[in-house]
Amino acid sequence: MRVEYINPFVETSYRVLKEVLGDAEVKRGDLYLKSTAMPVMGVAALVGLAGDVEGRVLFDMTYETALNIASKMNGEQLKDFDDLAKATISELANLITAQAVTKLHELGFKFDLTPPALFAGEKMEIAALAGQSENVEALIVPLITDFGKIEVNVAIRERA
Amino acid sequence: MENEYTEALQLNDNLSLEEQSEDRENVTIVDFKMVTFSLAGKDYAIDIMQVKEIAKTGRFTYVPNTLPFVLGVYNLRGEIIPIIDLRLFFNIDVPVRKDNSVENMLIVNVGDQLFGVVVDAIDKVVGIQKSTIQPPHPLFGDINIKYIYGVVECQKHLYILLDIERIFSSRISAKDKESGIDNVYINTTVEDIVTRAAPAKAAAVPASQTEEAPVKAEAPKPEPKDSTDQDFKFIVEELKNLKKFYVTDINDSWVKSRFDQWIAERKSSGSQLQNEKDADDFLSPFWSPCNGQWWTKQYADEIYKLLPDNNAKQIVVWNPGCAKGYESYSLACILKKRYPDAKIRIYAQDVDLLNISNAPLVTIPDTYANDWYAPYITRKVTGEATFTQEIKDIIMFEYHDCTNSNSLPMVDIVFARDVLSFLPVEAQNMVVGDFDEKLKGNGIIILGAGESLGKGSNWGEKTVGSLTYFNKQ
Repeated sequence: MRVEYINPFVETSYRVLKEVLGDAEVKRGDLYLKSTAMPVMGVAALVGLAGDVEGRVLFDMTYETALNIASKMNGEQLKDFDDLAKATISELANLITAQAVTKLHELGFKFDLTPPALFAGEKMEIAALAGQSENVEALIVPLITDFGKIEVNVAIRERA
Repeated sequence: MENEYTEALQLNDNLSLEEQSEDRENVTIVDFKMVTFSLAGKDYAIDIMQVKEIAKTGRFTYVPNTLPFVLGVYNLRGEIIPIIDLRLFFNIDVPVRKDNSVENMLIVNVGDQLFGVVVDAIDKVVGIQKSTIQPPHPLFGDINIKYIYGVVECQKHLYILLDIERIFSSRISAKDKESGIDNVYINTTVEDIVTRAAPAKAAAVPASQTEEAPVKAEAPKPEPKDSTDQDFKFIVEELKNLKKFYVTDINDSWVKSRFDQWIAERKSSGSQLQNEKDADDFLSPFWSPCNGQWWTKQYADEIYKLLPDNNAKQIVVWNPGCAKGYESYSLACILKKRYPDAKIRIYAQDVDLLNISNAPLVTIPDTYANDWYAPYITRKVTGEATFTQEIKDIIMFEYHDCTNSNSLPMVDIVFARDVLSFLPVEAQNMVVGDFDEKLKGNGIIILGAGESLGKGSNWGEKTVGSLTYFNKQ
């Protein structure tokens, strides 16, 4: 992945998360690369990218984390993962990705976003196959908050 | 046979029926028809079975974000077909288009898909005998040869017969889009890769046995055999544990010679690698010249001399393990000097996030900036020396693990000094397999000073001065 892509995602996901969670503490874990099929913790919001580059950004968290964050963002304690909670998490994904893409636009990379899609369930796995059945390489940005851990999983590449 | 024939003629003026039919076979049987056209004044042809029709039209609908040789799409009686300019595809100059001018176009059928192909002029249909098609001469070069089916002479014209399926199928699989088109060809490409990967796999078998191999190699030594073998095994093991240095076919000749030297050096204090410092000492002569530093003029000149001639318009370089990018920048400067007319692209990758993130912002110390780098240096407002935009544009730094799948195009040069030795055995084999897959037929691989691909594999090697490169045989 081009080094220019990394910072916008790391910075915006940190900043946006800090902003929406109010005074809560947000810590960034060490970045790393991963290329295997990944188990999803419980709730995953996915935003696709298309244009000069193609790929996707996946926000992965546990069910509890998602519920906590949705509660905090709505200013009320949500009891279960209902439509409002789902919409909130999708919006969070949209916020972060859109701001990262805006930053990349300023650097001269042009691409568009798809509307976020939300997946929730037990024992899910995300496999992104590239070309000859090999998994596409993804950058993982772990963000540790008082409400639980969110993993931002960025897989983008130049259009061949 | 011919003598008999002329004798027969002399003996009897009347041709027998048999001879007539033989004659016809040689001259008049047409079993292959081709449509001929011209590009930049040269004659080309394609198999008529792949041509649906010819058309004269212009003002195609431009489609943004496509490859440069795609002119756009065209509505052919309700069917939307992509239009490709073959002149752009082959890097031939195109006359400036006038607004309302019409283009000569062949509508070709590849797989189930129609394409429009724009050419300079369409000539005629020529019937020939298939057996007169001659295979393309290897002189045409590896890159272009695959698009040429053959050469055929007809009515004193020499036609280059293009393999239109190859032209489009390779582009399709490369673009990875418009799936479903021409599956047959996509499959063959995959198969090609698999069969090409096979020798690499075969070569992998001895690699996994290298830990035993030195034992046999050392056997005739006068020293007490067992203890030396033991020592060597320990060192191999310790290098792996302490420095993640894996001894395989790629570097074992260096490790062996270094081991002998090491024993001599360390007679008194024991040959074992006790700690990281010992391991560093052991490996200190391993590093290639100027590794992790700016290059000296001497080394730069040696690399310059090592690079073979290459007339390609674009030169693509794969530089895994570029660390802080010093070698990528140095390489960019040398390539710019060596191939001034080519467009150079370096894909520089590393797994160290901090190093690679800082690589685009590098500054160069004055002692080097005023040396051989000078023509490629510019000054920032602060007075610090950095590389010109031209050099910076050549390199694309990526945070990438070369053991993961990559999306690189075909490359001319693989530049991986002291990288392979630090990958586990399977990863080494995989990455060498990737090199094989991504390297063009005339491409070269440059490895570290202590590394070699030569052993028990299908790689050729060539040495210029103190440096060696590897290429496909």
